[in-house]
Amino acid sequence: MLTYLFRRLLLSVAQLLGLAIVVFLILQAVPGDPVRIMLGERVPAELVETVRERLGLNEPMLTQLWMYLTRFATGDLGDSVTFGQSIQTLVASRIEPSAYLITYGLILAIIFGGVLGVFAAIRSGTVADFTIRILATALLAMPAFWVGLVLALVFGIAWGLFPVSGYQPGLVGAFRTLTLPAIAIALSLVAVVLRTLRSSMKRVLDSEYVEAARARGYSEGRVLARHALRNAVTPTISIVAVVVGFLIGGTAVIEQVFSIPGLGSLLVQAVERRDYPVVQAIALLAGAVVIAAGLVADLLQAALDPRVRNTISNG
Amino acid sequence: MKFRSPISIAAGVALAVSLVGCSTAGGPTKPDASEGLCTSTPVAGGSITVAKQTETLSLSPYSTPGGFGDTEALNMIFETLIRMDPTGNSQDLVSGVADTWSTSADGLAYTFHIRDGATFSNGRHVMADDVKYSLDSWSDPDVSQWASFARGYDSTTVVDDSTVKINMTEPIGGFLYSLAMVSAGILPQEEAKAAGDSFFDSPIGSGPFAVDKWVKGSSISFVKNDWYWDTSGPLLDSVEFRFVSDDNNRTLALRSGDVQMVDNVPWSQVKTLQSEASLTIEEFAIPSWILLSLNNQKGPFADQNVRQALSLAIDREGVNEKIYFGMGEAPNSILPRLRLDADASTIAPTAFDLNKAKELIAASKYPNGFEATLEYPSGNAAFDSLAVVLQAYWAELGVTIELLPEDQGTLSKNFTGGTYDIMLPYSFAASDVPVPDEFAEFYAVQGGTNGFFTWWNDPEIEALVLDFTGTVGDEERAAKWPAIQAAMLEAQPAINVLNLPLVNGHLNNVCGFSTNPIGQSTFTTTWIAG
Repeated sequence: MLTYLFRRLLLSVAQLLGLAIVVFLILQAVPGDPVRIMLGERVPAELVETVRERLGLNEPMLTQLWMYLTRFATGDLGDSVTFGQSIQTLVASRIEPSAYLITYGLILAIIFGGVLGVFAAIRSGTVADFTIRILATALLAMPAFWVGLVLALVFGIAWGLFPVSGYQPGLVGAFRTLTLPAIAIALSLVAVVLRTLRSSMKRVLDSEYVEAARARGYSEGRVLARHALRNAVTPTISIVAVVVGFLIGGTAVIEQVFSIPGLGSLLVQAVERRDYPVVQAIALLAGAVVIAAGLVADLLQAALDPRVRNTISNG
Repeated sequence: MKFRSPISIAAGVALAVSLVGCSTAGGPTKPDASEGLCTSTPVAGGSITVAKQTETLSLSPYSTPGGFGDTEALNMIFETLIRMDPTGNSQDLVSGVADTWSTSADGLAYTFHIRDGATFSNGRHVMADDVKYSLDSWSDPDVSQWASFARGYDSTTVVDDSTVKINMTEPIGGFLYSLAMVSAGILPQEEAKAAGDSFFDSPIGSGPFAVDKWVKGSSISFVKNDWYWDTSGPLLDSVEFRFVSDDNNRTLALRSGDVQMVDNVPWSQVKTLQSEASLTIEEFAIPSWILLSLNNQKGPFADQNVRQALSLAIDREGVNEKIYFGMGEAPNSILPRLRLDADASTIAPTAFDLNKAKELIAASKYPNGFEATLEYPSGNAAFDSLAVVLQAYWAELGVTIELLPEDQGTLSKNFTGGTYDIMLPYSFAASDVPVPDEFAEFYAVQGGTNGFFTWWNDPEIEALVLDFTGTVGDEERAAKWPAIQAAMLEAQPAINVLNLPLVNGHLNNVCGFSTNPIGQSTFTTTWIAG
C-alpha cells in the first residue's frame, strides 16, 4: 500500500512538471506583451523596454523556463506583473470563493445526480426514467454561462431571490451569492453522475448477489443501500474525480459571468493581460487539485472494494 | 457590502428549503417611473453602488495598469491643483487644491495659491511642500508611468506655505490640462514617505472621498472625506464601485436593483434599458470616438487616395442609426470632438460619397482594389456588426476585407508592433484631456508612438502641431488649431468613424450625477431622492 502511494506521488510530481512545461510553452506561443497591456499604448517605447528588462521578459526563452521551474521548485511563485502583488498573496485572497463554489457545485451535482440516478435505475424503462434521462442530457447540452444568465434572469430579476453578481464572504454571504452559480455548474454535471450511476446500478440490480439478498428476505431499502449502491458507486467515484477537473475549468466562465472574485476569474484576467506568472501558478494549482482528486478517488475505491484493495497491495 | 432587502434574504432561505421556486416573493423594491423625482431640493446622506466595467487594479496615480478602473477611483481620492470642470458644463479648468493661479507672460512659470480649506482626509492641511513632492514624483520617469505628460516641467519652488511656483523648461500649451489629470494629484508627503509602497494600498488624498474598503477583484468603497473644502458636496455618505466586467451581468445587476448605477451600457442593450420604467439612461459628451487605425507603412494605406476613399465609403449615418441608436455624431476630425475644434459649418464632416470614393481608388496605385485584414476586439456585439458593415462598404471599392476578431492582448501587440493592415484597436477610445494636444502630438510628432502606430508623418503638419502645442493662451491656440484639424482630416492617417458619448444607466431616484469633460465623476453633486 505504501509503495503504491509513493509511486503515485512520484507520478504526480512528473505530471505536474509536464504540465508546467506545457503551460509555459503555450503561453510563449500566444501573441501579446504583458508590459504593453499594463502600461497602455500612450507611454514611450523606452519605458516599455525598461519594464520588460526589469521583469526578466527579455531573457531567452530557455532561461525564462529554467528560472520559472527553479522558482517553483523552491515554492516561490513570484510576483504578478499586473497586480503588483506576490502570487502567494494574490492566490490566497482569491481561493475562498472558488473553494466554496466548487464544493457547493459538487455537492449539488452528487445529491441530484445520485438521487435521480438511483431512482431512474429502479424505475428503469418507465416514463420517469426516460424523462429524467432526456432532461439531464438536455441540461448537459446547455452551455454553463447561458444557464447562468437564465438563472440570473429568473431568480435574480423576475423573482428577486438572489443577487445576480458579486460575492460576500462568510458562510451566509457565500450561500446567498454562490447558489445561482453553483446550480449553473451543477446542472451540467448532474447528467454525468446520473448516467454513470444509473447504468452501473442497473447492472448490479440485475446481478445474482442482489437476487440472493432479496431471496434472503432483506428489505428493499437494505438491498439497495448495503448491497447494490455500494457496488455500483465505484465507477461513479472515478467519474466524479474527473468531473472535478471540469468543475475547475467551468468556474473560470461562471465566476466571470457572476463577477465572483475567485481563482477562475483571476485566471481569465491573467490570460487577458498575459500575466504569465499568475497563469502558470493557477494552472499548476488546478493540476495539483485534479491529480489529488484522482488519488483520493483511488483510495476511496480501495476502501469500498476489496478487489481494488488487493490489486493495489499486490501491484 | 449590503444586503438588498430583508425580503429577498427570507425568500432566498425559503427557496433553499423548498427547492421549488415560488413566485410570491416579488422583486426588490425599485422606484417607479414617477417623473420629477429629482426636481426637489437635493438631500444629503445615503449611499450608492455602481457596477463598473473596469476593475481597479492600482491606487497609485503613477502606475495605472487598470486604465479607467484606476483613474476613476483615483479621482475620488486625490484632488489636483486645478480640475477639469466636474459638472461637465464646460471644458474649462476650475479651481481644486489651488483656489487661484496665474501664468507668466512667456509661459515659463505658473503660480498657484493653495486654498485655505484644502485638507487631506486625515485632517492635515495641504502644504506647499506636499505639492512640490507630488509634482516632482509625477514628472519623474523612474517613479511615474505618466511622466511623459509632464513634458516641459522643470521644478517647483515653494514660495511660502500656501504658494508654489512651477518652473518650465519650455512653454507647453496644454500643461494646465496635464496638471488637471489625476496622475498629478496631490499626495501628503510625510505620510507617503513614511508608508513607502504600502501607502498606495490605502492612500490618503485631499479629494471628496477617502478609501473605506478595497476588496481586490471585487469592489472598492469610499466614504465622504469630512475635511473636504467644498461644503456643498459630496452629498452622499458613501460610494461603492463593484467590478462587473460582463456586459450582460452589469445590466442585470441594475435591472434587479443590486446596484443603482452602471457605467458603459453596452450599445446592444440601450434600447432594452430605455424601455424599463424604473431606469434612466444618460449620455455624456466626452472626447470618445471609434478609432479606425490604418497602417500607413503598408502598401495601399501609404496612399492618401486609398485612405480618403475608405473614409468616404462609410455611411456614417447608417452606422449611427443601426448600431449606435443615433447617439453618435459624424466627425469633422480624425480626433474626437475636442476644445478649440472648428465646428461643422467651418470644417464639414466627412460625407458618405461612394462615387468620389471610387474615383479616388481609380486614381490610386490600386485601381482594381486590394485585399486587407481588419482586426477588432472580439466579444463586442457592436464591433461585430460594425466590422461586417465596413466589410460591405469597402467591397464596393473592390477592397476585400478579411475579418479578424481578436482579444485585447493580441490587438495591442499587433497595433504597437505595426503588423496590422486596418484595426479597431480599442473597444472604447477616449482622450485623457479635453484639448487636442495629446492626440495631435501622438499622430503628428515623430518618436514615441510612431504617429499613434499609423507610422504616418508629414513634416509640415508636424511643424504646425509643435507650434500649436508650444503656444500658451487660449485665443492664440484657438486661432492655430482649426488649420491643423483640417490638414489632419485631409491627410487621413487614421479614420474617425463616429464620435460617441459615454452612456450610463441608473435608477430614477439617482439624481445630480455628472462627469467632467473626460467622463470621470467624483459624485460630489449626486444625491438619492426619497
